[in-house]
Amino acid sequence: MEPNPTPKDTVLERIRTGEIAMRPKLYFLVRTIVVVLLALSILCISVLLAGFISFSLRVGGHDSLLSFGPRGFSTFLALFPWPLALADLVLIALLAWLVRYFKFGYRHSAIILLSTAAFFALLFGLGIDRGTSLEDVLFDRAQRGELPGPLNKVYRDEHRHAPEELGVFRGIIVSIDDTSFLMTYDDLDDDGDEHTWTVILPPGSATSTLTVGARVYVAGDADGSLIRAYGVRLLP
Amino acid sequence: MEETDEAIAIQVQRGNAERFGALMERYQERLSRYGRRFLADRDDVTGLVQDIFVKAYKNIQNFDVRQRFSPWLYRIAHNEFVSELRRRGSRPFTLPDFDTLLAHAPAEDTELDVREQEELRALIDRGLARLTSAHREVLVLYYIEGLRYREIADVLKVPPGTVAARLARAKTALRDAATELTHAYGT
Repeated sequence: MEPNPTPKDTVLERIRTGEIAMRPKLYFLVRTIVVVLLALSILCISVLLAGFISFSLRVGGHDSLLSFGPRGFSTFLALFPWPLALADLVLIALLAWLVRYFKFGYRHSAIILLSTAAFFALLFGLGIDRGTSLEDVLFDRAQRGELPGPLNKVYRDEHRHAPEELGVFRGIIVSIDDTSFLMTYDDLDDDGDEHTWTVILPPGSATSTLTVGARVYVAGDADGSLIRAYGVRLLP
Repeated sequence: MEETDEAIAIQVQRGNAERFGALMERYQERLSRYGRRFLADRDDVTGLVQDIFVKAYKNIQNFDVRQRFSPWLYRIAHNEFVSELRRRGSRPFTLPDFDTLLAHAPAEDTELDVREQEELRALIDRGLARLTSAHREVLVLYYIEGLRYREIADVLKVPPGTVAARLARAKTALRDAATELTHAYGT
């Protein structure tokens, strides 16, 4: 009785008959390039998303809340675009998973990879928003309806809604006196919901920095057309 | 001097397919041993080893000849055995694998105490089936197949620190399993 063929014999025979063939080097090269391009694309989207989050906080004036004390901070947390941040985190997790294809990726713990990727996405995102005019240019183009598809609405909406139900108001100063000023509602549209508020400044605040016609961000408690502010900041 | 695996792999990459036989000759028994212990199965793993060689041949152009050949081949074997465990319905690794999530201290290979190594090899033969596949695999790769931390890290695609941490836990689990067996059977 003939002994059973070993794996070596069987595989060699299949190689000789051409049943098994090597994949060409190009196949692996293309695969690596695809992974690299995919990783870079995800990184770019993640950075742009972080930049957009920073832009939305800046253009809406919500980043002012961070200088308004503990109450401002808790309102900031309530207004923070968490769904966008979560989407960015998912992208970063996908990126960290993708780079595990490479040795430098899997040789570091997932936590280190995730936190490094998140740090750089945040850093570059902030850099794009605060250091370049890209987001502002896109915002201006969105105002003119020049961005593709739903991006026009996405950018425009970032400015339109001041969430008054959370005690946040935006407007233009009409007149100023010693402890208060009058401001008009500013939502950049003509839908007839414009009106005026009297804003009482926080105790100890001076009106000397305010000017008529300036755009202003106010956090406070509204009672009819009167707002008792705990924070006021001029918008650029 | 014996030709290195990597030198043979270069010849195969250049089209000398017959030289792949020499690599299979060298690794046939080692992969069978790895498979039987990883799967905790005394059954024949010839079919799986054959599949490993087929995949290795198909993908040999992806082997970086500046690296060692054995971790690359063991990586293919690892994937094949993990797939086999899945086919059998057992979950080879729990998700998420916290070992890979956390940052462990950098791991360096230490000189193995010969007595400890022999003791662990004997324990592996007795208690391996009672361990999880993740623990079984790291013990086999380190103590039986003689791979270094960094090579095991390449096989499992985890950080070397994770290998060291998993190995330490696997040793403890193995000693516990051996103690239980001793109590149960008095051997």
